[in-house]
Amino acid sequence: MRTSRPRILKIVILGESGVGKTSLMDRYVCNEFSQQYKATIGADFYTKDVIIDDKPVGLQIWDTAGQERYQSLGSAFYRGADACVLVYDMTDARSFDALDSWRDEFLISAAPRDPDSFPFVVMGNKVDVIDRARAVPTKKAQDWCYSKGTNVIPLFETSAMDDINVEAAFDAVARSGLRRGEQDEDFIPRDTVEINRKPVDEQCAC
Amino acid sequence: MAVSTAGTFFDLDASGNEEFPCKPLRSSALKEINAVASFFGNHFFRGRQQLTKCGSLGIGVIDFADMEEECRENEIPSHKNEAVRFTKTFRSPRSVLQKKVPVNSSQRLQMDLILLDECPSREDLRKCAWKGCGPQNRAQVWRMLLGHEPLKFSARRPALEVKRKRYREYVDLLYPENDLPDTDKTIRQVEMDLPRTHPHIPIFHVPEVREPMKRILYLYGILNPKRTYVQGMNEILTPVIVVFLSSYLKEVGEKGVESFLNRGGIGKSLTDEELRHAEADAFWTFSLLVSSIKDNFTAEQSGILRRVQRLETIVREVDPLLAAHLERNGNEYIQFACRWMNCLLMRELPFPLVVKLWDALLGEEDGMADLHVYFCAALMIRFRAELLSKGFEDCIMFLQHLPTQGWKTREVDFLLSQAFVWKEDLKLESLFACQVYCKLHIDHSCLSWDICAVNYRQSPCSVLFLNTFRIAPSRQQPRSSAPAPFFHSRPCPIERIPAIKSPRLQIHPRVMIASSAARIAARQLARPVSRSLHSTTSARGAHGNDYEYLHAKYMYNLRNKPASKLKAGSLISTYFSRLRLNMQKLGVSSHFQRLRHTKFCQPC
Repeated sequence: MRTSRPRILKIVILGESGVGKTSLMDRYVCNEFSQQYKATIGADFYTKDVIIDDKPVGLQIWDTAGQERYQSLGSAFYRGADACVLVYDMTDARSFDALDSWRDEFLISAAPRDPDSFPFVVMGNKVDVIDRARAVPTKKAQDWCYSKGTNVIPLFETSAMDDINVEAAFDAVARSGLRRGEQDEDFIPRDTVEINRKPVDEQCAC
Repeated sequence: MAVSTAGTFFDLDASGNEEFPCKPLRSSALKEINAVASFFGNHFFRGRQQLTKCGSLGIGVIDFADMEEECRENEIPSHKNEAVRFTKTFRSPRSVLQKKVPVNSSQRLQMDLILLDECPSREDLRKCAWKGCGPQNRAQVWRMLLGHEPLKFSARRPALEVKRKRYREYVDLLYPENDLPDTDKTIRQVEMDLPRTHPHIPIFHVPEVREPMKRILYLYGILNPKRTYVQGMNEILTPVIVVFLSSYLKEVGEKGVESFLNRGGIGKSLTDEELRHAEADAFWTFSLLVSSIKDNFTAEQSGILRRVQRLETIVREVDPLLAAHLERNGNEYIQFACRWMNCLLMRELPFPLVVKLWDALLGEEDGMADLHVYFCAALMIRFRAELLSKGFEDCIMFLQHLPTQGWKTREVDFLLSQAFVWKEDLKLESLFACQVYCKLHIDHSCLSWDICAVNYRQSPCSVLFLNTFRIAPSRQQPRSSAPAPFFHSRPCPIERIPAIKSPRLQIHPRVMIASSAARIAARQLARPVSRSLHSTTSARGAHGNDYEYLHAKYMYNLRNKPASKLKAGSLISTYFSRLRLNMQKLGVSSHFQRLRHTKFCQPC
């Protein structure tokens, strides 16, 4: 019974304006990329059905607006999230520095039961233009990922334009969301073990 | 063609039928023509000029082949030159007839007259704007409605000059073109958003348009530190800038904003001065527009939350079934309506329709803040069938990508009229404590309706009164063999409430009053059915109005309309309102009356 019904995971994508949240979504969900995105207002909604370890999972993804001003409306979109993606632009140090405040804001607004172990995934986007204008060294990002919460946050350097690492990153998001769900229902040991074992080798794809 | 000679005017029917004898003009149309005549001075109406009346709506077409000459001969006072200019834009009667008169010409004439008035009333201007502005007048009408340009004719030019100069000063003082700090959040955000503003329309990406937009948004941001620049303002600015830039282009005056959007660039079609004026006007108009919904852009964005909540209330009131469905789904309104409020539907409707919509919203007191929300509700309920068949995910996806691409003015008109009716309705409702439903059924041969008062405050809710009225087929004569139904049937919540038929209730004074009111209403309704029971949309041209939704609006002006001209719903509401007064006189508490239309007509 449990396995036949797809799990639904709610995922929220956060990050500064213009880091490429919408293009990452477009790449992941539609496998498309365009130079002509409109700024997101409020939040856009996407869905994608994936199979993880032979189990169907339905992802409900909220691509949120990047301007600080919209954080006040955030709680409406953050509530009940199973995983959160933090995106920064590798060519813009400011967008990386803002990750702290995005994470804090999310934890306050969404108020998960497990703020220390809540699954986050960090994506450094625009790795395709890295030669020209890298502003955030991988080491710096990794350090940040190690320093937050009890779990290490997985880090992916992605490019929505060249389709680098996007699939893998969202796969990790889905897995971490699933794992959290399973921990909640921690009386099904069989599942818990299987899913816990897998992501260990997935964690640092960079 | 009808020709005036020696002051006699004739009418042509709407199809441009040239048969003689023509019907004589209605007196209201004559009045209009006389107004034009007196405005231009009698010189223009001496014998030789032709005045043609086209269509049943009263369209004055004046053929002044040699008007300019006469203008010089008669030394027309300078401000009347404006009037001369506008008459020149009218084509000759024959070419107009050949091309089929645009329905809104009368509207345009009316607007021209208002704008040329020495001291027009704001109310008249609003009324006229509600019907839609012509592209040649829009810039001025928006300026005036938002308060950037004074109403008084002689004060307009000096006031505009002062404001344009002040804007220039702001730019010189606060906008050092090459010296803006990179750390400035506002300019960074503006620069980031401008390339993402209508990325598919090239005209927004030529420097003559983008640079002014950048200056306006930046200046607005720093001059209003509490609100600053918020994403979405860039989109609100686009119709404003388009209207002002295009007001200087002749072809846009004829073809509308679409022709501006299709341009590849501005080039040399505007002089530097015109560009500067358009920019300054756009700045002031934009500032005033945004400040009418300023709480949308404060730090906590309380305006958006409030309006989204209001939207939810409206939907729950007018379409409980849909509201219940969304609630069951777990759909929250903020998830899709946030953008509707923030960008004023810029993302949901095609650009020219937004401009049209804004004409009407500006034509309504507080329209952007209030009527807009009702419009959103109407937009949502327009798709109720689609929504009712969808689950949580599909509902959000659908509402975030409404299929409005192929829409024409007609759809917006219809939604506007609906929005207006609901707005008036809910206002009416708040006066009463419980609800009186009037549910209309219509099929090809007859019309019937139920009237019932439902008290939701009691639990379980009780139906105080229920009666059905029917209009005999003979009074509802179908025009052709397959007539389109006037009203579209929509399920009404009353169906789900079992009627309580207790004898004790039936003799209750309230019930008796309600029943007598319903009887009176029914008698009234039964009288002039085929003419007066028209839907909001089937009434094009009725009462001398050009637009369907106008009809919906002014129908509701209960004081000024004789009962025979009211629509069923409002007619009943009049009776209930009167009844309420009577009841107050009788000392009966007016606890039970509340009217709501659960039935609305949709174009078929």
